[in-house]
Amino acid sequence: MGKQEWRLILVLTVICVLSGGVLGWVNALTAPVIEEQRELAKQRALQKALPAATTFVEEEALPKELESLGLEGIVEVHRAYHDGEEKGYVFIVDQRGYAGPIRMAVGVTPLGNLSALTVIDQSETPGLGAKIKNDKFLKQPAFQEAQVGAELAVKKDRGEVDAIASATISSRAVVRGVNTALSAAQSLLEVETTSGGEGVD
Amino acid sequence: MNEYVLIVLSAIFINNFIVARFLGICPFLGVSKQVETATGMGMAVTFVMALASGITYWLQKVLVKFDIEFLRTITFILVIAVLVQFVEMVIKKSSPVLYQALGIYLPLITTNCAVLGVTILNVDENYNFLQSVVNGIGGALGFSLLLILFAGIRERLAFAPLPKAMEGIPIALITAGLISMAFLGFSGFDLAALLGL
Amino acid sequence: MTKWQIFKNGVFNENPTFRMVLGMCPTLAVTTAVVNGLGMGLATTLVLVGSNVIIALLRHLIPKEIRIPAYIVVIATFTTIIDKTMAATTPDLHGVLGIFIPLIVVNCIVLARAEAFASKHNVLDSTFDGLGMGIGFTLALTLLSFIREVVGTGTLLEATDFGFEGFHLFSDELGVKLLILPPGAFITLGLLLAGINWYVARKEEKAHE
Repeated sequence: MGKQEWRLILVLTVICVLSGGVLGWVNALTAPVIEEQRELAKQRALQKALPAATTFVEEEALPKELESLGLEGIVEVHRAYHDGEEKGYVFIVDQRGYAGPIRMAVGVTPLGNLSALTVIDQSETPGLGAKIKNDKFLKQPAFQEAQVGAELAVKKDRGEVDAIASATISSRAVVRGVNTALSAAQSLLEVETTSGGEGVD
Repeated sequence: MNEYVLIVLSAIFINNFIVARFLGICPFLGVSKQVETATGMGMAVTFVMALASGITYWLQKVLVKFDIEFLRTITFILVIAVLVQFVEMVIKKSSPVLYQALGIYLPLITTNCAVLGVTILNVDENYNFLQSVVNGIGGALGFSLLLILFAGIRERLAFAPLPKAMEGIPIALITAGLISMAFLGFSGFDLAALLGL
Repeated sequence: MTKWQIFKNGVFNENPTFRMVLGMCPTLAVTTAVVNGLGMGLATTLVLVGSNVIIALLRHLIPKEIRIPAYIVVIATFTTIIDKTMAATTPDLHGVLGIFIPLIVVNCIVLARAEAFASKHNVLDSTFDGLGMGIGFTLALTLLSFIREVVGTGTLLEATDFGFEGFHLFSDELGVKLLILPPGAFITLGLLLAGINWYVARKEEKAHE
């Protein structure tokens, strides 16, 4: 190679190294903030899904176990407490929506009632599917009265949930998430009552 | 097998790169005046998107391994640029006929956002190697289908009497809007259920 | 040309969206709400100004043969900086714009300005060119998203990052939902472009008279 080629390679390498350095520095600055934001958003979502609780302990082994029971999309399970007293579970569930995955947090009380649900992350169409994150949809009676053992469905599928107009696919995804969380709660609460009984023995 | 059919079909019809995801609009509006050139562009893009999907899959593994994922955009775009150059050289040497057909489109592909787009989507979707390549091919087929369809319409549109202000890009965009409306009809299909998944 | 003329050129005469028809992918994809269009426009403006400044600074050092890869590296660097900064400060907006933030790197406007302007002009002129083009792009995106958000949903300026639900102008049941969906993007932009073509042609005609 001639002198000219070496110069080209040298210039390009210097530019790449410099940009790599700058990006490394930017990444070091922003990565902890991004992580913190994510953690904060999650805490807020957990709190919203189960307002009665104040502390949440993640059960890292449970999502895999629940998946083996055929429950798909459960990302995290948190056991909820207030002053050391058990307040139920919060499930973080992913379901496929219209434009991409929808991540939601669903709270279930120890008695098996749905406490509340909230959407953490979604990329649905603004003004249509994105309305799944609004209270008007999430706080409707069909969700608030839901209990373990129930199988919810949108009205179009002969169910009780009012879907968002022109966004049935997004609405169905949320309903699927709620159903998954309720079934998961059912199996967990059953396990607990039996193991609790053994403890007394 | 069904799983791959699902990826290809949804990349072509439900999440079509042009009319649903809005990726690759520039070549769509620029190189779609004749069916022949549209076909050439479509072939070149399919080739590059399949290759890019495969290579960036391994590249992402390396980035994760060394914990330098923040370099994703920069490394992906450089790999695509080098890849396009390389493909151009290989085709020029091995098949002059193919080079004549595709040659002029190849340099344009680097800045086609469909290529970088599909590689990032593959990472976002957590696709494995084969799924990534299949998604790349499916996305490119959807892109090509639209490009060729659109070129057919525009060849006729050239003879239509239009108000001066509507000529060229405005009418092209409105036509694309009508095609997009037709494709919206696919979005209601539950492909997974149809294929028994 | 004065700095003001360079700036004005980008905003009006050579508006990247309405006059040059560049950067169509983000223009069509993210203009479903004013906040999204505005956010995308400003992010692109920052990348444009940053890359224009650096490329103008290095214009005598970069050999002609490797200028395109060098420009791409510079643009990709600024794109990643914006990407990370937005993820840290406005996570909701970052999530909605999604893949279109890293895709700023292949936005034809940025590379076109690097090649056509920054590589031939000094740093100050290039800054104004970047600002003008960026603001022109931002205005176009904001106008398009204003029409789509208001007519499509009856709401204006919904912004979850800032805890603002937006102004409800009329019931969303009356909104023309098609405008929010992909076809609405193509049709609204097509009509807007036709309107601007008509206006420019009329102005030129008047000037001739």
